[in-house]
Amino acid sequence: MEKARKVSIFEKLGERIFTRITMQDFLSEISKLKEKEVILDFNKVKFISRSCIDEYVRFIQNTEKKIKSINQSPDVCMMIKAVENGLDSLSVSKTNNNSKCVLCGNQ
Amino acid sequence: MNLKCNISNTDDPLKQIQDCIDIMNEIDKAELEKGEILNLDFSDVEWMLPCSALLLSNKIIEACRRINIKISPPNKRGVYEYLTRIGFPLGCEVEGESFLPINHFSNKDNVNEQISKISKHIGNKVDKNFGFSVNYLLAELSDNIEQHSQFTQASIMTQYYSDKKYIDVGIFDNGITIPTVFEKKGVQFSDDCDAIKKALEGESTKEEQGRGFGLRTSKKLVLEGLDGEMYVLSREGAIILNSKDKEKSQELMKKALKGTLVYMRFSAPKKSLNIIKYVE
Repeated sequence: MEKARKVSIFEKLGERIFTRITMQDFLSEISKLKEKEVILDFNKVKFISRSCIDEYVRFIQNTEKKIKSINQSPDVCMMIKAVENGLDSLSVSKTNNNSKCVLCGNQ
Repeated sequence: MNLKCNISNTDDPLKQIQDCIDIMNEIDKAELEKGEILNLDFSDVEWMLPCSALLLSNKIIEACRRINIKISPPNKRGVYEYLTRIGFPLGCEVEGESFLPINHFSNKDNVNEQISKISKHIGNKVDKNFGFSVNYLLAELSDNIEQHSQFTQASIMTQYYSDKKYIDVGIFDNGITIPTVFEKKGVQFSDDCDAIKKALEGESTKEEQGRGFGLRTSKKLVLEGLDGEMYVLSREGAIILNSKDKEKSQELMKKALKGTLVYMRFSAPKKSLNIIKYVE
């Protein structure tokens, strides 16, 4: 069975992630990984901007890879939830039947 | 060549900014002989607001790529010392206890790294009750610059007034301006103030749904969450918003600003602010 690839976001992007382009570039790298399953480790990431999360959520919803996210701080998790809710209200999200954060499982 | 830089001795930002636009246009027009130096003469300047320092320093650093510039500093000692402290005009690495000097970055720099560096420094200085609000504003505004403005040079400065617990954040880019972006993308507007208002309401030039939240949520956060004031100037438009009046005033400037300035002043919340309430 193919082993999942673990990627540390902190090591790639640092503890604060601000611009959409940075996240786009990072996710483009993730897309190119040969592994079908990727674990994104948010350990030590203190802040991610709304636009980066927006990019990230859209990626998660559209990628064919199996993405698992771990070690998100409560702040990062809340930002993800807020962006997801915004996308839900625009009917962009595919996860609106689930009140849990699809990325970390938190309510 | 000598260029006398006259700046009104006033606390009215719009008045000083219009003086700065004159100076910026003169710098753009300067045609020098080979080896000639443009002397920017600030000797008679009695007072320069931070937003004016930000605009002029951005223009000077941009112009330094094509011409040689010399600065004659203000004779008034207090003004000279203030400008030196904030790193006017070239920026400076030395930060003060309560401020971060002017930081410049170009479209060739990694914007994320630049903003991250600034955010880290600010985080160490400001009241903890700001939470991630300053990060949020820096993120949304710098992202707009990177995504839409086609800038070559951007500049940021912040000042924290610890006794009054409020903070000033100014960010300027020399890009194509909000009205010009809208014109290029076919967004209708009546004048440049209207274009800024539309951007503040969330009008997006991107085709995907769920875009255009940057300025809108920043406005919401500054006015509702931080009891603040926000100036947005782009081309001939100038909009001033505050928490009491929502839209305090709008004005079409006589001369066009070649770029977009967002300048904000806001107070530390009484309890720790959760920015999620303002995210859309």
